[in-house]
Amino acid sequence: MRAATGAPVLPGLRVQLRVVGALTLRELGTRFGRDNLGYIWLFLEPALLGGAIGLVHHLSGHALPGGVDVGTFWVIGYVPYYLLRGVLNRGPSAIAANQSLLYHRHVTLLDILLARNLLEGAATAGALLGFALFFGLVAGEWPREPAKIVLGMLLMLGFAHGAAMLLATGSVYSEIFDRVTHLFTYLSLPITGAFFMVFWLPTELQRAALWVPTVHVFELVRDGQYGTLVPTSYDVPYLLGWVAALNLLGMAGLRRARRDLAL
Amino acid sequence: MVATPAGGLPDVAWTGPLPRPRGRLRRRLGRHPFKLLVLLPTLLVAAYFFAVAAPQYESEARFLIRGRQAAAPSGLGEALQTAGFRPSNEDALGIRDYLQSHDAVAALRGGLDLVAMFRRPEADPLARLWWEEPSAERLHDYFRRMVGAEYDTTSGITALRARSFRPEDSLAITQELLRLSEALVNRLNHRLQEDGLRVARGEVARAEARLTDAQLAVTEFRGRERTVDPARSAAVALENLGKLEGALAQARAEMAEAQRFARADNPRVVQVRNRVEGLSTQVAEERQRVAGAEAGNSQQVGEFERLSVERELARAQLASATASLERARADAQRQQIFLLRVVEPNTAEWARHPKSTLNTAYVFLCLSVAYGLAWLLVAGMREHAA
Repeated sequence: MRAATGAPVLPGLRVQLRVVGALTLRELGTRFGRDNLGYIWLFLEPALLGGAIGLVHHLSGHALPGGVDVGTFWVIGYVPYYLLRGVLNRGPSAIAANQSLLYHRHVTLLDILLARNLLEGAATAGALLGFALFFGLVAGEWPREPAKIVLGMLLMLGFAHGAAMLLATGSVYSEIFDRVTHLFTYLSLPITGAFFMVFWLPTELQRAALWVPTVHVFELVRDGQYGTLVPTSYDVPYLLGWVAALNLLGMAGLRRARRDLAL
Repeated sequence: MVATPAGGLPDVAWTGPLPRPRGRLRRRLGRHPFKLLVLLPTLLVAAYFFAVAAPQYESEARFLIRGRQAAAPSGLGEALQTAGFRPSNEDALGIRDYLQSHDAVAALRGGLDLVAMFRRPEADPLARLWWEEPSAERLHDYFRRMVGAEYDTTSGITALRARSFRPEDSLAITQELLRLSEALVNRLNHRLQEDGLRVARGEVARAEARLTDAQLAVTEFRGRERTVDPARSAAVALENLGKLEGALAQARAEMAEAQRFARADNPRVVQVRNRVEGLSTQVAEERQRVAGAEAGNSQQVGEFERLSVERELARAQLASATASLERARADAQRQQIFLLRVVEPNTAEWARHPKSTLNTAYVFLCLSVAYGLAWLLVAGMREHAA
């Protein structure tokens, strides 16, 4: 890799952006095709899932502790979780699905993962925007601080992207990652913090829950949605530490994996 | 020790004749990026912490906020409890918030020269308060950095920590803050008690006024109508009439009996007739009087009844108001909160802050990770240009 040291950075960045853009378009085409609703499915998929979960809980009529609005709580919890799950679950298959593209000199493993994950991020962002408008117009539940929701989603994307890069790296060396990732994301649902709030827990459990990085994301997003209506506890620097560490390891891992990848 | 950075190895002669400063910097950056971007800043930070930074002494106090009785949980509190959430002591949280508030800073400034304490000559220029005449907000921000209060939900203990550049200053701040907290607790208690009692006291005063009014009305009625009890006097008048009528009937019977055996001018007959006549006049008079008074008297009776009922009601109301005042007083006594000092503030002997080694290590770690990320990203971009 030292060979590339002398090359100019800015033209490289321009090429990389073009490559990522092209890969995103390709991903869109392969995932959704051009027939029936086409690209609309990108936003519709998370929106339908989140909406269904929110609706079911809204109709079941169970009140939540702290007087949290039921519909928004489940949707606001589900959409970021959808992002995490979507990115993680697609991580291990990313390289295998796009391996043929690596014959092009300009396409790197990082580009492939970036394209996929940015697409996933755009999908959930669109769905979340739709929900925010819907709840604002229908129920008058506008987000108190939208910037915090955006920051939360960006951090979630960064976290998931870093983890997905590690999973993709692992998938180069062993098939086991592809097999267990779905199981793992499914089983980890209760501890991610998507469907509970930290202040519901007793003090000892709160302390334990705050070790889980995604719990901070959900608390941050809820702080943006509900403001001071409910107590939230999160630590953005802690989360940033996780994101930085995962991305560092993930990018390093991908570079190593590229060398070991037999085309 | 900062003057010769670790990355400044290449000299001018080596880099070429009269290079532009920017180009020189770039070349050095290109040659020793890690040294310049990570090691040099870490070295600067280490130099600051180990050579420049003034020691900061910490004084710590711990206290408990205790109420005699926990308040009854509200609807929300109950809902939270069902979810396994243990409600924390609101009073303790209130004290904690107060300790970090602008209110506490203002109160502290009344007793201590806070700005001078944070601008001691031995303080280093970076860590001390930067302004000589800080605005309340700036001082508050600085204060929040130097003074912290933490509430532990499991033990219920609030820990108060103050840092400054002299041990005595820290001690003074902690002591003053503790004193202020105690004053706040007393103020809260006073308010609680006053609020609880005010309503009950008002109720008692109202009942008393009502009773006085009712009693006054009865007295006035008696004075006006010249009667203690109109119902009773009416009964007495009727009884009188009945008695007179009885006596009249008896006298008439006696007269009839006397007339049968004696002449009309018999002295006994005359005596009896006189009695009958006298009684008749009296009965007629009495009857007239009773009949005349009937109309006014029934009204009088009604009025008097109303007044006495009113008086009874007022009496009952006063009794219940007095009882509830007693209860409120007992409740207020029970709701009182106390500040119990668990750990008295100490005078530091050794400066615990700043944590030089830890901070330096932290800076190094963060910079290294950031550098690694940047290196990987840049390397990825360069690959595309190749």
